[in-house]
Amino acid sequence: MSTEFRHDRGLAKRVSKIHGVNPVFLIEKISRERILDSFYWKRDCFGLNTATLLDRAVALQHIGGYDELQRPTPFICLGLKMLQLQPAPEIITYLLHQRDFKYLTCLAAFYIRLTLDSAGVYRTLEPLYADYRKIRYKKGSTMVLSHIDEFIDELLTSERSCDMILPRMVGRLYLEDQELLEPRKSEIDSDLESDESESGSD
Amino acid sequence: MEPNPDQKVTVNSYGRTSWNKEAYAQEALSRRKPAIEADSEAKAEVNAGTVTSHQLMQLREQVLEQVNLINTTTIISNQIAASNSKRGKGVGFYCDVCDLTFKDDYQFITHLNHPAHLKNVGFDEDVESQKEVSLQEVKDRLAMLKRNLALKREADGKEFDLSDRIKKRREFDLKEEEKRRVRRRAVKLRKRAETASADSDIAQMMGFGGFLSTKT
Ligand SMILES: [Zn+2]
Repeated sequence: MSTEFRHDRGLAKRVSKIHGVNPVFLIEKISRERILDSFYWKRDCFGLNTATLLDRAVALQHIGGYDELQRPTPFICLGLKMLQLQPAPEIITYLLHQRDFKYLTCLAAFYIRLTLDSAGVYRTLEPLYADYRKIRYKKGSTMVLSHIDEFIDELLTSERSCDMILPRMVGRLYLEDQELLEPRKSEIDSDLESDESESGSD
Repeated sequence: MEPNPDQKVTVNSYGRTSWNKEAYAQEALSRRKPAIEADSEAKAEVNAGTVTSHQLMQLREQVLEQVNLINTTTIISNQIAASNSKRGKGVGFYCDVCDLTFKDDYQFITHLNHPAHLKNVGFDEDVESQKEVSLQEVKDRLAMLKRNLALKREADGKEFDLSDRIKKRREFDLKEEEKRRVRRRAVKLRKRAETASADSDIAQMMGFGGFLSTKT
């Protein structure tokens, strides 16, 4: 235990393993070290529990990985904090679907992408393709205007997001073949159907 | 000659010195005892008032006020400024629980998170982090934060207003333009003055400065 502590700081205590490892390992070591040494982490993330974490989360101004000086953003610092705290699934779901704080939704989505299995990620995050709220996304020295649905798409389809390597996902079609997942019902489909039924009734 | 149990140092008939080790050990133990007892008493005192996480965070906020004062100036006595060690009150960030001073905010905050400091405060991280937060608590917290935000917006006087922002921006631009104009004019004037003086310097060098005759 003591040698483990010497090599890996900031391990989560009293939590169950995710993807077979201590949850904080879902953020690669180099990022983790940078977060643990950052001023925001030391000052604002110390001693938080799931309730007080929200104080910081609602104050978020943007998402993203690092700024131009390689300092981690508050967004990923809070991401690591959540991995340490491992809030109950119903809390995560609630945070994802509350409509008052959009960056809190992003944080919950990021956490879900890191922690759930592939089918679970598709099932929970795909409904957010219909969330068009604007968000600021810090990419290096620039701030990019983005939307929650774009961020969700990045989480579901690319290997990296917020300068982090995301856990590998099984392809959607494979999960459908295995009957672990229903085929996705796109928002556009339902729009088209309602259009058709309206035109049919005319 | 048998060693005398009361004597610590004995010299035998050949003049060889021997030391009574038990007597020395006894003496050393009796000297150390009060110190050990005092130490354990102090520890008991600290652990008696174990603080909760909430109390700790409040304390922390108070202490962090120091960090918020960055870029302000405080006048201090010469004597304090001369001291160079971490121990005691000095220039920088001072932790009154541990009686230590730190040179920068990063070191200071690292200290505030350090197990040694937490122990001095009487905070046990392991006990505190075992508390579970329920969904209801999360909901209440968010509702509270939402209320606070609404109150703050009200206190600020208005909701976000685009036309107002545009007006302010225009005023700002005008002011900037005016500043730039002033600066440009100043530069131009200076340049003109410089070229004029340079002209007269050259003229003087060539020996035909001004209209006054140089002949005497
Ligand atoms: Zn201290």
